[in-house]
Amino acid sequence: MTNKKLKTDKIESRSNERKDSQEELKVKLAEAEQSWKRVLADYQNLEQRVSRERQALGQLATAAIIIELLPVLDNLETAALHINDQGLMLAIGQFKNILKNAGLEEIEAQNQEFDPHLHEAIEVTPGNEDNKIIEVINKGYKMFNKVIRPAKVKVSKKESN
Amino acid sequence: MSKIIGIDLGTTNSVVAVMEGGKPKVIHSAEGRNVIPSVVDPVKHVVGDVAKRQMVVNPKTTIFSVKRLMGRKYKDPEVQRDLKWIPYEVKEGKNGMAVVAVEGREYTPQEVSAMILGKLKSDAESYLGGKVESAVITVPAYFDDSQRQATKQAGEIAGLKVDRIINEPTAAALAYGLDKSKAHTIAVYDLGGGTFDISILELGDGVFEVKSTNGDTHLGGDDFDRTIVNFLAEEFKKENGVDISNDKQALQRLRDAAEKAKIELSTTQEAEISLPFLTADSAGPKHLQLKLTRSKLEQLVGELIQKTLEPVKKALSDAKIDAKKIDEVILVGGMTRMPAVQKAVGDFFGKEPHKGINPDEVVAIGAAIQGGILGGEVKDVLLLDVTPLTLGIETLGGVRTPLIDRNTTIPTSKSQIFSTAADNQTSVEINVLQGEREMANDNKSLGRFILDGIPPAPRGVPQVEVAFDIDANGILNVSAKDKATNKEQKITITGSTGLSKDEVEKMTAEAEVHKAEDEKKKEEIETRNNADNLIYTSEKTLKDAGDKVPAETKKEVEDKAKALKDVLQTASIDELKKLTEDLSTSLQKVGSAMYGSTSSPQGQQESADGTAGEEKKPDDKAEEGEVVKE
Repeated sequence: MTNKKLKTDKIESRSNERKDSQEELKVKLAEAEQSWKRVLADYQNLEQRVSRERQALGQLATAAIIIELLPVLDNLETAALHINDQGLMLAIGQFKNILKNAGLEEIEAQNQEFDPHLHEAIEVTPGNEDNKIIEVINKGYKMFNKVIRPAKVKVSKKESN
Repeated sequence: MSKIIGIDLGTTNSVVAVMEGGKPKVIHSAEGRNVIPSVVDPVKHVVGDVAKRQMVVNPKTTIFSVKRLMGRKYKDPEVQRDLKWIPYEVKEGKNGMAVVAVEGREYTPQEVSAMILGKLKSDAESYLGGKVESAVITVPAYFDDSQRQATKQAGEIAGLKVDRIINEPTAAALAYGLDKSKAHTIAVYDLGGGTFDISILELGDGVFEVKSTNGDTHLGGDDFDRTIVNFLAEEFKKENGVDISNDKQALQRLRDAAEKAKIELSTTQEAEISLPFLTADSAGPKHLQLKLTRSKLEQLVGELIQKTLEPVKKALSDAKIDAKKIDEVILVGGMTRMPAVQKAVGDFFGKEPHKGINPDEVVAIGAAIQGGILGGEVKDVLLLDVTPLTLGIETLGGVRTPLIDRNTTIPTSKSQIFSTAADNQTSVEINVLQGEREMANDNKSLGRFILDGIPPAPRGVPQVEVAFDIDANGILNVSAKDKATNKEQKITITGSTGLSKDEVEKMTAEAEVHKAEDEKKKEEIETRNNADNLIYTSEKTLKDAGDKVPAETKKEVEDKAKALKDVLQTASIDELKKLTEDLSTSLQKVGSAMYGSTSSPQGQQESADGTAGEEKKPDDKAEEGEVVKE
């Protein structure tokens, strides 16, 4: 009697064990499925992004070098204000033409309404109008519809209030 | 399931990162920068760079450094002190909390921070191409419960479920993987744009405990910049006699130049500062031109660096730990790129600090890793391994031909077709090699086997496909199959990736040392193989052509082939190359004779790449063998 009881107990515990290990396998399988799906998703997203970025890469590379050149243009233009020389003017024109052909666009600022998306305010001076750009200190530029350098400007502000 | 992003919500700048393919990645803003300024105009709803640009125009509506008010009462001494220099209006709000008043409306610091978080969230969404719902946000170790609660609320207002708030120094330690190290005590030195924090952490059971913190809430990169600007203005005055300390435009240019020079001097010994037309007086335009050396810079800011060491000492004494007992030191914040800062910290603790990760990004990276752990992602992907060394087989003349390059992520597989080196060769031996050297003998042989039963054929004709396959457990299966008979042999090699780090480093270093001589040896063998193969081709061509070739051409080719054959094992590389070229030119005449006026026979170029000689070695590619066939 007791023997029989023991036996069924054993069988039960064994089938329980089997159930347990089956459950465990199910969990593991679900985990494995999750993880490969995740990796696949990461991979597909990466592929899309790589192709997007590859398109932008050429533009970015051009923009990066042009950003470095901008201070030179600034200085040449400032120099032209002080030194009235036709040769210098020609050289500046030539330089600007090359940059323009590469996609560089000057941001309009003088007498415009101040817009922080395009302009960076350096100084505020009292004036008749509010939020008007009264002086461009450093020209801003766009390339491929993106601001690569905001224009540094002086903005007027109405005195009362 | 959407990803959990990691956010470093800083006083000056904020950063967002995410786990991708098992690695943390910092997400760039729509403006293309890795950090965004923590600046907000709550009225116009602009955040980051754009908000910062209008700061001087709208000083009352542009909110910056709002982190200093987070979860604080208006009457807190810290808030009262900050009020003195903050240009926007701060008031006492509900429950005595500090709030920001802009154009008659009150904003809690949580609401303002939420706008920063909202921008980071939308930048992350456009990068990931999907919705982001949860985040891990970092806070300074000294933040109390109310400040942490406020940070969590800010996340919720921004539509983010905040899965966890973690300490900034803990995030930095996570980024360096120190949770898995044996380090016991860690010091995190964080010198940012406007604040300095030092934290002493203790690691137990993979959990970090903050033992002590200290710092200076008003010391950072901005102070360094200001010191340099003052120096430049001084120098300019000495040189030109013009005081520009009230010229806003000139100062702006000086500030930009100072920051640029500071950054440059982290990698160079000398920076050239040239600002033409900085200003003008009655005598004409004035230019600034000077060289700033690293040592001069260090002299200028030495005092500021020394100032950071006081809080470090206090933190150590609070934690009751001796400086020399600290196991690891981590550097955080852009200013820690300065070599003088690194040296001061290194000298103080008597050990090299960790600095491999971009110090602006390290906290966000740690937060992203924490997000990955919470999302169950980190655990999974860490299983992916790479092959530490190149795997290949031995080919004719004892050359190693690589199949799978080192650092390839596994599981992976690669196959290539090889052929026989001699006529009627019926078996090939596959010798599986591991290592970075060019010659088979210098690499480690992982195993070898023979594929036999290849039907007799001229050399180069049989196609033997050799396939390498490494599974996720690093078990390597190499098989060789004869395409004609489908006969296959294979070998399984376990432990091809199970090399110790030292072994891998040793083998890689050896390859580097022997690189030049190995390449020379390989070239020598390849030249000899090419020569031998051309002799074979020319003999075969003459035989096939029979009497279609004029006797004198035939004689010329035969003589040149014999001359080459005689010196094959003894001549120098240059000599062999010359003779091979010679023979090749003569051989083309045979072709021309056979095809009339058409150009050289096709087999020509390929045969030059072909193989010959030694038996029982798989060798060149079948594309080459195939052509020899015709």
